[in-house]
Amino acid sequence: MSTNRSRRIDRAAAEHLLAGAPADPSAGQDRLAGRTVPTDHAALAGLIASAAAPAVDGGELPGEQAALTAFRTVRDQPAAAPRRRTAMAATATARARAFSAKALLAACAATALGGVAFAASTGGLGHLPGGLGGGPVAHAPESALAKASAPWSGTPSGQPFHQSPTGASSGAGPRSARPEPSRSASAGPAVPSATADGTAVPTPAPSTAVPTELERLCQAYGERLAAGDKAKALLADPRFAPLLKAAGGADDVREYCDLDEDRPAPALGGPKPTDRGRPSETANPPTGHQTREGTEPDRQ
Amino acid sequence: MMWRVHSPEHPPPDLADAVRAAQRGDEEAFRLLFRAVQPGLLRYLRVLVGGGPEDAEDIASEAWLQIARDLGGFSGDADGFRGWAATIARNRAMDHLRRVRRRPIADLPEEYLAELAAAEDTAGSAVALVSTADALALIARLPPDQAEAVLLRVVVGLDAEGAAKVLGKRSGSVRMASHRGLRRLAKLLEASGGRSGGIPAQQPAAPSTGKIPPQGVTAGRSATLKDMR
Repeated sequence: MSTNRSRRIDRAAAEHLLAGAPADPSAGQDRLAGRTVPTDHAALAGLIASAAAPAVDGGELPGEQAALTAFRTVRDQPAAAPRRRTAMAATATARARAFSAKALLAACAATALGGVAFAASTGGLGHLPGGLGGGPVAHAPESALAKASAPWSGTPSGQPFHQSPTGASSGAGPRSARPEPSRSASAGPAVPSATADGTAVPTPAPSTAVPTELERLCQAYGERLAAGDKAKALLADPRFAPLLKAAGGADDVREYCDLDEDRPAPALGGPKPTDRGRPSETANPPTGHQTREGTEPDRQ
Repeated sequence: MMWRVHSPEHPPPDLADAVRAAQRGDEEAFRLLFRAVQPGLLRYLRVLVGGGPEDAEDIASEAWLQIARDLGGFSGDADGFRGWAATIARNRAMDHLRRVRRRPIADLPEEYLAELAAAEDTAGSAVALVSTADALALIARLPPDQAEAVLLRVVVGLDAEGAAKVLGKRSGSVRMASHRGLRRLAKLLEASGGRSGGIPAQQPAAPSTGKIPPQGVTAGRSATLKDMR
C-alpha cells in the first residue's frame, strides 16, 4: 500500500466524519482540494450516516416497557437502602444469566417486595441459587462477583472465563489498577464508592500499556521524521522494531501512527498534551461518567 | 427520533433536563432518555456481542435495569449520560461474552453478518442509502478496538473523550483506533465497490461486499440523509 492513496483520510477529515459531519461534498473539501477522489469520503460519510441513522420511527423500541417498569419499580421503592438495592440487583442479575430479561424484571420486583437484603448484609452471594451463569461466579463471594463483573480485560486473545475468588485475575499482568478483592468485599455494599473505581479504571494494564508504548514510539518516529530522518533508516533501528511489527510493514507505520502526510509532525501532538496531563491509570471516577455512591455501572 | 446530537438545525431534546427530571421520578423523562439512547446502544451491542439480536436486547435490558436503579446517583450532562449508559451496557456485554466464551466483535462468524442485516432492517426508515445493518456489518469487520471506537463515536454519539472513558483507554488511543478504523472502512468500501469517480459527491454510494447482501439499499435520498443528522 502506498502512502499517497487517494483515499487518504487525514486526521481532520476523520474527526469530521466521526463527529457526524454531513455527507456533504464540502466536508473536508478544503483539505481534499486537489486530491482526486473525494467521493471516497462521501461514500464513507454515507456509511457512517447509515450506521447512525435514526431508528425506525413510530414503533416502540425493544425493551422500552421493561425499562420503564424497572424505572417505576425503583422509583416506587424510594426507601430502599443502598445495600438493599445492591442485593436486589445482584440477585436480579444473577438470575438474568439463566433467564430472560423479563425474568430479571420479575426478580427485581419480587426482590424489592420480599427483600433479600440479608444477602448483601452478609457480604456474600453464596446464597444465590447455584448453577447460574458459569459456576465460579455464582458461588463466589461478592468480591469475586464484583471482579467478574469488573470491566472486560480487553484482551482480544479472549481469556477464558476464570473468575474465581483466588484466580480472579483472568488476564495476565498487573492488577494494580483494579480494586483489590478484599477491598471490594469489605467496601462492597456499604461503601459503594470504593468499588466505583472499577468503573473509572475499566482497563487493566495489558491493554493500556501496549498502545501507550506504541504511541510513544509513534511519537518518537514522527519526531525523527520531522527532523529529517529517513523512514527506512529509522525503521531499521531495532528501537522501532515493535512499531514495525505492530504496524505490519514499513509502509504501514505512517498510517498506523496516524501521521498526517501533509504535516509530518507527530500525529499525536494534538491530543497528546491533554492526554498526558491526565493520568490514565489513576483515572478517578469523576473523569468518567460521574457516579455518586451506589452507581457504579459494573456492579452486579 | 433524534438521537444524534450533531446537527444544529435539529437540536436534540435536552437530555440533560431529562436526566434531572427522571432523577426526580418523571417517567416520561426516563422514556425520553431511553428512546434517545437505546437505538445507538442496541446497535453497538449487536456488533459487540454478536449472537442473535435477542442477545443484545437482553443485555440492553439488563443495562437499563441498572440505569434505572442507579440513576439517582448519576450526575452529568447528556453526553455524560450516554457515556454512562454505554459503560454499563459494555460491562454487561463483556460479562455476557465471558459467559459464552466469545470474544467481542472478533468472533462474529460470517453468517452473522447476514443475520445482523436481518436484525436491523431499516426498511421503516428508508432514508439510508446503505442500510444501517449493512453499515454495521461492515464496521463489524474491523479489528475489535477499531470497531468499538468507531461505534462509540458514530453510533452511540460520544466524542473521543467520552468513548475513551467507556473503553478505559486514553483518548489519544481511541482517536487513533477510530481513525484507523475509518481508513480501513474506506478500504473495505473501495475493495467491495470499486469506487469510481463517477459517483456524485453528495450521493454516497452503497457498499456492496460479497458477504453482505445489499438489502435495504435505497437510492437518491441523500438530502434526507443529510437533513436527519
